[in-house]
Amino acid sequence: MKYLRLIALAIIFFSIIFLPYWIYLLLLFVSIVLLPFFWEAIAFGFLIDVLYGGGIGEFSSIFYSTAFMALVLVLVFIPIQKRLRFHV
Amino acid sequence: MKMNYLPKNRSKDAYSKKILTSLVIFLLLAGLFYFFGGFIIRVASPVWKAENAVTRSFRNIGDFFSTRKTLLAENASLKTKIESLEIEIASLHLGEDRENVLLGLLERKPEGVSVTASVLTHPPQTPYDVLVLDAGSSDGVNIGDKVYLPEGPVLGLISDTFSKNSRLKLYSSSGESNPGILERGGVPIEILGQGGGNFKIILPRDTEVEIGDRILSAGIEADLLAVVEDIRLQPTDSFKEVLAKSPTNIFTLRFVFIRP
Repeated sequence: MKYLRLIALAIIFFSIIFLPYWIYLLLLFVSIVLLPFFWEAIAFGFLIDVLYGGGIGEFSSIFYSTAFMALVLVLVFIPIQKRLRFHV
Repeated sequence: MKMNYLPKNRSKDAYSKKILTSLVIFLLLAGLFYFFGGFIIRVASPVWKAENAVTRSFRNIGDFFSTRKTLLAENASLKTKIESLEIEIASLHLGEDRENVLLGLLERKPEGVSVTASVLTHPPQTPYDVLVLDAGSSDGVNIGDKVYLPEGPVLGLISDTFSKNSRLKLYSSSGESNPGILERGGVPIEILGQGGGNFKIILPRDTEVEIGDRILSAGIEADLLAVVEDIRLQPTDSFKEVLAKSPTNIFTLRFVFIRP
């Protein structure tokens, strides 16, 4: 389980640096759904915003950031996850 | 006396704890990334440069295996293309000289030196039509500077600067709205970014527009912004939807000029 998480972290990190956005956003979503309490998605969201987005300069812009979307998804999937058949 | 307590809802408690933890993580990371954003880009820059170099060398290896016949055909078509482009460039220079004289007379000649920058990342790696460039505030780049293609067309504005890097937001970014001029008839228009180097323009039904028409920036310099690709018009509509595209492929950009 621990290794699976580490592998997921490494794959997402490298896909953010080198691959098109639809790949790393999809991987991020799948990891949030499959892995328990995947809070690292928030950090990846901030990394995407800092590298490719408009940054996090203003307070209002934070609500339109990838990090905020990741936070919302993580919170939404906490209660649902255990009821999912494919949950790791 | 025996007391009966209601059992504590443990799952609800755990959920609240996770929500709280997530919020604390979010706030901490927001602070961290706010202060170290520039540093992170600086660290990532050499990796992107290496990636670009590797990608280019792989493309060259692919060219090496092209057949002789294909290369000859390609050579011939490129020669024809070069000839036509040379003529086009010559005519453009003529117009440019005339324009410079006129702008000089009006005392509105563009000033400042342009900075050449190479593109480190571009779509589809970046999701919002944002490009990371390898020139920053130490090279004289400022927020709001215009970014041009080496051939002349304007691409967008600098949205963020760091010491050695800067971020370019393309005019074609989704949700971006900018004034422009439809060259045919000199009609002032509002040009809406659609992402991926695409634009949308809504025009009254009677406005004359054809595929291939040029859309210019609204400033006195009137730089090329986009070229009309498609026109959509329903018989019942009073407006027509014009789809335009950036004159260059933003997915393969290598160098740009930054001007104040």
